[in-house]
Amino acid sequence: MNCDQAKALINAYIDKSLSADDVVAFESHCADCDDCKRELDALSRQKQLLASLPAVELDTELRKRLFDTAVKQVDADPVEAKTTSMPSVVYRFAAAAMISAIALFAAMPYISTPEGEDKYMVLVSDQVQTITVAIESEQAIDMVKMHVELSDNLELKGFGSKRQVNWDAGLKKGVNVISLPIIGIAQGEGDITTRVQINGNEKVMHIKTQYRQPGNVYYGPVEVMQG
Amino acid sequence: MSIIKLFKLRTTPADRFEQLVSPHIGLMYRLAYRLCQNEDDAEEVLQLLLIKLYPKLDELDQVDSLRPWLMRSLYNLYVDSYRKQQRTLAVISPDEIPDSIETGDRNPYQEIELDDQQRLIVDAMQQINEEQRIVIMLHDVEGYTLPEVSDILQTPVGTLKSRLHRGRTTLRELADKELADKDQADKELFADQYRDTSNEESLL
Repeated sequence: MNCDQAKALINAYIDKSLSADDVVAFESHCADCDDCKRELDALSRQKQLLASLPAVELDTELRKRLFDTAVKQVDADPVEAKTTSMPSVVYRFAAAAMISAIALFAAMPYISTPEGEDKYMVLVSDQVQTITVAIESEQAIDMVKMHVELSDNLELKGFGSKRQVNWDAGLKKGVNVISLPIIGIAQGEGDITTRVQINGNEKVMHIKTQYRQPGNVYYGPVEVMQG
Repeated sequence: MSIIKLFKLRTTPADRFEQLVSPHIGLMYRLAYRLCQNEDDAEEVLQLLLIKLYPKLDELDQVDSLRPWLMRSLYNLYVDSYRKQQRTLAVISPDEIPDSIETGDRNPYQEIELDDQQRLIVDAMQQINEEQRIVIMLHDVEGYTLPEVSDILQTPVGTLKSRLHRGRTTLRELADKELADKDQADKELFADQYRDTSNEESLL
């Protein structure tokens, strides 16, 4: 076995997928070849190192939150939930009714309460809270008008005192996402309105917010309405 | 009516959904994390998947091997939504992109303690081709077999092998380079400190 042949087998050797004959030939070559032995040692160490990388574990609280959110979101608007597309599902719709093929939803922190409130969002005055608004479209759309409006007690990081951001966008088929880095700047209830407009028709989503004093935990309800 | 049937009737759809998915959700979260490379996005993708799956509870009930099916669905959703989202975010007009919009370039493991060698390999992982990185993540880091990876990514084993081997080699070269750069930086730092000390002594 020469070096080229040996190097072609290194990965299979590391993965223990070589035949017994090839293992003997490979090991015999490496015993006499410092270059191939070095390569083998380096790749073996690398594989061990990769296997030693720590994994994240799903804690009980997050596990519960994931299930609760799914159930609450779907129960709150089952029609909307049904429009979320799985790979095998094919949708058909008329181009004129394009707006109806768009769904808006938000992924945000929430806490459920014994009283059965739907959703909650927490804002901390001096911290950025990223709100993700997903726009799901059943087809690619060249141009929609996007608007994000904030109440006076909220700020979009990077936009200073600007309360409204408008822009034109193309939507891909599937889920399109906007991440809104929101900061609460004053107490009271707030509102984030996202509008997607096509030819004068629009989909609107309101996300209610409550300001939270640092150190003084307060959770306020969030109401999500579909336009 | 049998007790079991009665029990089933009394079980709410939410309970059934949780019973079906719960045994696999820990692994799904780990997969989401390996794909997205940060906990926030992993949570988001997994949440989105659960929202999509819950209304399809009856279909879910009929799936024979649920775990690989769920893993595949998660990967598909990652490709369809999260990965596209990295590009789709650019739909915000360029001069209006807030500074803190996440672009997916965050380094994973930021909050996890790693030793120097692990840090080196994690940094190098960020620089390799995404297709190769995902196979390395699933096979070498998470320990999935190639047929399992093939099932999740819906890619032939031969293609995966090739990605794995090329990825490992690139990773090794990058890690070597990072190590060499680090050594050089350490040497320069030492030389600077030595010069500073020499200067201070000459001033005295």
